[in-house]
Amino acid sequence: MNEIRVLLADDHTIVRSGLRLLLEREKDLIVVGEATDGREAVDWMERAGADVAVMDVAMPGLNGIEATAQITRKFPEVAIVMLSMHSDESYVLRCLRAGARGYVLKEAAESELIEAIRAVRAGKAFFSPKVRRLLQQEHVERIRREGGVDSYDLLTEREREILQLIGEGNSNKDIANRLHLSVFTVETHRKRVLEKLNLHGTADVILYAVRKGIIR
Amino acid sequence: MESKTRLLLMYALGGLLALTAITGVAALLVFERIRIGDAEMRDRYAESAGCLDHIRAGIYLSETLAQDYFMQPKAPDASTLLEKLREWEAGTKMYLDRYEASIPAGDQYAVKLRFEVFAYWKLIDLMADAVREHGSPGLDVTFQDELTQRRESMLKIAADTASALDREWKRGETELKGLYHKFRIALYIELALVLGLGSVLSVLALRRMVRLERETRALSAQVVGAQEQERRAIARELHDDIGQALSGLLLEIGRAASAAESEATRGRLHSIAGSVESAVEAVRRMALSLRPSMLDDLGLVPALEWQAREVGHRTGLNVQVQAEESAGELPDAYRTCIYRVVQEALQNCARHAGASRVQVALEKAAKSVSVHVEDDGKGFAVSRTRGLGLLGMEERVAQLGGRLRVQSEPGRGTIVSAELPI
Repeated sequence: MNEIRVLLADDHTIVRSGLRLLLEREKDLIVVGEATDGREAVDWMERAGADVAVMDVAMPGLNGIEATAQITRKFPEVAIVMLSMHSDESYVLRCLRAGARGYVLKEAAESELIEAIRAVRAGKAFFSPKVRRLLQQEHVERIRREGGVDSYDLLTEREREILQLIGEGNSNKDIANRLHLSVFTVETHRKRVLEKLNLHGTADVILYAVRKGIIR
Repeated sequence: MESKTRLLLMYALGGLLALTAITGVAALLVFERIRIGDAEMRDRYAESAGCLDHIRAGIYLSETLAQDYFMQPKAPDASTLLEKLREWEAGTKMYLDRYEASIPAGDQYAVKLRFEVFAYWKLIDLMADAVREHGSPGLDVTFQDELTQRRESMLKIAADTASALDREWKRGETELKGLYHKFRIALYIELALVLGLGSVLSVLALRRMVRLERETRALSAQVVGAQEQERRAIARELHDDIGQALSGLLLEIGRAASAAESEATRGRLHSIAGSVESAVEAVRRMALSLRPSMLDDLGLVPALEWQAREVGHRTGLNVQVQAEESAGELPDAYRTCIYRVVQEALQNCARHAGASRVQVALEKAAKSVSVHVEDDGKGFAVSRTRGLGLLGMEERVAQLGGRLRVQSEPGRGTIVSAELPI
């Protein structure tokens, strides 16, 4: 089994040491370093690197979201799991936009973090079930409040399929391979999906897919 | 210091009022005195001059009558003439008395006049007696000469008296004029004093008012600022210290649970973890209600969106936020101000407006940022309602040099807008 090198970034020592103990129980996970704020996390990636960063959202100096944005820009191969106290979608959306693929509530870290690390390492998205549930509830309520048409109903079968695959973290090329389509066709479908749902990028698509309960 | 100025201002104001009152009353009194003095003088002059005229006329006419009588004492109408003469004598003497009454006692002209008038009539009496005894007064030329002379000198005295009266009158006039002049000057001085003191007082009062207003504003800014600071500190502490400690605890509990030998221990540890999770949730809610961490972690627009969702959950209002993410890139004070204004406005919508839809729009221009909260509720009469936390909003907005506007009419919904210069 391939080992996964993990960087822990959290400004609270008690949380960092708890996480380290948690991860070290797993044979395939190696905690290669710790950072106490966003700046240190970025520095670590530049100096030593890691496969996955577990990033606290709220840190002094450079916060987790900013650090995530910088790291994913410079090192696109690094997967990032956000650790957060907040289940609100504002946080989820900003973290996704910054480039994170996992979002784990701190209160659930003990049971979910390991799965999340493995998932993002495999190129998939991961959200705490509680977050997923809240996002879905919010989505349903919003549609009811606004009383409009659910734009998901406007998608074709093929578009729904592609939406799910994008949400699961697949690239256009992966999707093309799986569906035996050309990359160009996939790209066209992708554009149609974004347009119909009024979304602006992969982060929005992932969040939408979570809200819709399309991915887990 | 404070109470000293207040006392000073109160004294000064009292002084000013007293001065004004005194000036007014004094002016009225002096004016009345002048008016009465003037009228009295006029009356007295008219009386004196009238009496003098009567006396002079009496002398003239009686002399003519006396001449006629002395020429022909035996004429048939002589006794009528004599009678008339007596009447004139009585009249003249009566006017003399009145004249003397109308002037100050001991006037030298009056004394001379009285002497001459009595001497004149004495002469006429003497002549009348002589005519009765000798029957032919025509021969006695000296008597007649004497009479004419008496008349002349008396008329001269009467004329002198009249001109003295005139002089007296003029003197009185001048005196009054002087009095009036003095009064006018005094009035001017008093007026200038009142005006000067009033101006000084106004300036002092105005300056004090402006200072107090500035101090009040600074104080309320401090209060608002301190409150916000405090809220942020408590929210952070709740969130960071307690929240993170609880998170660490949860990890420990989880670790203990997976290491636990018996199913019973594991079960108990899981239920403890459940309690800790509720505590985490409670702490998060508390922190968010004090000051949403989004405002500091994510920025204004995410915080507004969160607020919109929260209000939607709580009240069922459909709150839409229209804002470019970049419009929220503002200094902390502005973010806080706008967030609180929107919060207050949404609260009003939920509580009072009976609205179903609310639109929140944030727009950033080159030199200002503005936010509008528009609902489709029942509205209210802006001029009559000043509660609803509007004052608090106004205060916050004014501190950043901005303007808060509330447009509403019963039945027409409400628009709360704030514009802040940047």
